[in-house]
Amino acid sequence: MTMSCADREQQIGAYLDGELDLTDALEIERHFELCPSCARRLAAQQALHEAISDAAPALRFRPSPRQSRRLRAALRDAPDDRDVPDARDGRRMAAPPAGGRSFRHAGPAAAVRHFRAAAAANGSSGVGRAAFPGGLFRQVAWIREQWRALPQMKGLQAAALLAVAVAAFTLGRSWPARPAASLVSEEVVSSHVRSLLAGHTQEVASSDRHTVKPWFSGKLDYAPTVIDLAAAGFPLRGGRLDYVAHKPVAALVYQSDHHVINLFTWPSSYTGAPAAAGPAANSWQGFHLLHWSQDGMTYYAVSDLAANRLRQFADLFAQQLARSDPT
Amino acid sequence: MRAAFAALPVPFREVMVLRELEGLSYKEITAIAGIPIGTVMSRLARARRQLQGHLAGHGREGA
Repeated sequence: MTMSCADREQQIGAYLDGELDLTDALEIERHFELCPSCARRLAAQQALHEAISDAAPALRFRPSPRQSRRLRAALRDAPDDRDVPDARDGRRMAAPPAGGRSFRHAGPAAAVRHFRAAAAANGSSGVGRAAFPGGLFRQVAWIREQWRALPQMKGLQAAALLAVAVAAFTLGRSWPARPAASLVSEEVVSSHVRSLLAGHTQEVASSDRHTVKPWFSGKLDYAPTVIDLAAAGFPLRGGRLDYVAHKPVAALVYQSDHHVINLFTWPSSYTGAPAAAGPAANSWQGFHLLHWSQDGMTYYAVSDLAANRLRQFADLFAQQLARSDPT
Repeated sequence: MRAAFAALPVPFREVMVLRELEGLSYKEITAIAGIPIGTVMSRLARARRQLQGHLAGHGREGA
């Protein structure tokens, strides 16, 4: 090992944050299996993350209804700042996102720019002290300390702006915690990668679905539907048992050129039915995922194939599945 | 938990809030906080260590 365990703390955090590249992530996963003390630190960091997520609603700034009304009014009254010089350096601002209140796609930097520009136009009369009661400022002081992106603003003005920005985020976004579906996606990708690493993609190697399907009986309490897509360029390679969401599940292995596709399938009751009926796309550390639900079963297709090719595969599979009789 | 966050020095609290509450990526945090990615990582690690210490020292109250 090139790295001592003491140096791994940052890496463990980055691993949990999904910020390690694939090589480092695989390396540290191997290390967790060998090193109980790092595995304990991983568990402790995970527990901290969960505790913060649980407490997140209480940690976030939430304006009272009265404050929200005032903030909305301040936003409504803010002029179009397309041509307002940037308070910081006098350059012309880029056009702000349309709508003024939704920065969901533009990100926080855009929100900060927007409100900074609005303040430059309004001075302290629009969104300054007069617009807010003193109590808000005490709350804002705490938030302002955390956020040093606005060193150029005078204190009160910056505080008022931050209040508007933070409130706009709070009102405009629901702040979803990491959904269960994304944890399953991570598990599925990890399983996919492990199967490739170990060269252990299939336990039953056959391109014949009448060999692969019966292999699962007695190993699972459901029968996965196996479909051969060789004619479409996705030959079946076999299948294996895997373990996802604390349950043994079926993994069907397909190939496209030199790329392996793992198709995981289990009854939707294991993980809850996904919200959307159609395939949902996702990517994780360079792998593409598609998952959908059909006839009470959940499907996760994962591969390093190009996203559109994987979608082709998923669409074909879903079509044939809809046509197939349950044999 | 609120007290544990409040006890963090501002630079550490900043990265924790951006990462854990706002769910931003390290890259986004570097842009907002104006610090290099290595600093983001080291501040997060130190902030997490401090939070763990604080929470361990104060039982589960307020979490």
